[in-house]
Amino acid sequence: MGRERARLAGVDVAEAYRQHGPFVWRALLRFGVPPNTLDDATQDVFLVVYRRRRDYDGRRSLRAWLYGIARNVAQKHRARHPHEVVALAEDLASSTELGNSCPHEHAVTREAADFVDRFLGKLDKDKREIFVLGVIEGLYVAEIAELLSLNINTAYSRLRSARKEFTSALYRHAARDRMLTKRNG
Amino acid sequence: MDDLDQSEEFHLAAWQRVHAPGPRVAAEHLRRLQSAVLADRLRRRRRVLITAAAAVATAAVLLLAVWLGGSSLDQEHRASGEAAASFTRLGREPSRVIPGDRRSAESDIGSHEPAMAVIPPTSEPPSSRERPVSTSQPRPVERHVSRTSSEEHGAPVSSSSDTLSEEIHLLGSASASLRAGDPGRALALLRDHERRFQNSSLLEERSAWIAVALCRLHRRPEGIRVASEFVARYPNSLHLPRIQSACATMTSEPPSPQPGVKPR
Repeated sequence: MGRERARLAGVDVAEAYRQHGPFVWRALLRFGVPPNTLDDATQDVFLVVYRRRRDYDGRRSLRAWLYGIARNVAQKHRARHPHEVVALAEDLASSTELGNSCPHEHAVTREAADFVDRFLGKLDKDKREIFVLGVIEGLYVAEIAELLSLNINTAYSRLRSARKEFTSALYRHAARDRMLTKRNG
Repeated sequence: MDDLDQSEEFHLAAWQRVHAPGPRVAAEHLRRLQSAVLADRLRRRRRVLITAAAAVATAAVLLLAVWLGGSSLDQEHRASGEAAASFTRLGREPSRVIPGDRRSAESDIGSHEPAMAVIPPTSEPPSSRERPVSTSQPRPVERHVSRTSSEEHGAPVSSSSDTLSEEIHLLGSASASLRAGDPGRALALLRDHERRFQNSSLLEERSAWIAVALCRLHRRPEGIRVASEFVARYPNSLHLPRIQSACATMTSEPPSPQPGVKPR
């Protein structure tokens, strides 16, 4: 955290973007920013980071700080584009690109991502964000509790529950795959 | 993603990879971000410069205002100081009549009366004027400054200033009449002054000129009586030589009647 703070104080916003840009981008999408304004919203977040870079006190992770900024920026974007609010998981896949991967790898990655999207779509709302932040984005539970205004025990409990559900879902998915492979084989 | 098995990690990494801007988009984001940061920095720098320029301009205006105000105050202070000094000096000096250019006075219709200049009196009591008079030249400028100063600043001219002007005018006319060899008219003017300004601060000048006028009118006993009173009251007055000159050379013979003047 100290290094992150020092980097920010050194106004290396570009490096902050390279490390955390995708995280912000996803967070903005989950906050309902329309894909056509996602680039502007991402830029806005890092401009705020640049202007407020000296406000970052390093008490929490840079990601947690960025998440808070992204939430505020998303609120403003939603207010500016009230008719373009998108559904969370449904539009995520359609607004992305995978770069220069081979078709097989592309298909496998896309299939894995689709599985997680389906899982997130079925997950309770109050567990979904905790799961994304805690399990996928790697934030500390204490930070998640603070960001989502939750009791820390509640945050732990929901995260544990979501993790268990994810493991079960993946287990079932793998079992189904094995069954299909046997049947086809 | 601790404590995740390999499959879980793979799925979540795939999700992250899919739900992220691609390399092309990321590069574009970065480029736009750097441009925006640069523009923001320039905008802020410009704002700082504008603020600094405004601050400098404000400071310059304030300095100018202070300087102008200071110089104006200084002028006012100087003017009022000179006026105050003039009045104070006059108040301390016993004589309001200062010898002028003797050559010009003597060449003036052959009169023996030296040129006299009247200086504004002071409101201080007469006792404070019992000191030796200054032999400095008349100071009309000082009088002008003191009056101009109050006029310039819109201050109403006081009634005492009006009275003083009137006194000066009256005594100036009497002095001019004496220099012009018309002691009768001078005496009439001085009596008029005596009647109108009983508590005049120019009493010394008036008394001296009355004595001179009486002697010139060949009313020597009266002139000597006034002169004696004058000497008793103003033993160090600069007017004494003139009084002596006028009364010592005059006879007690009645003068030839002066037209339009009623001798006392």
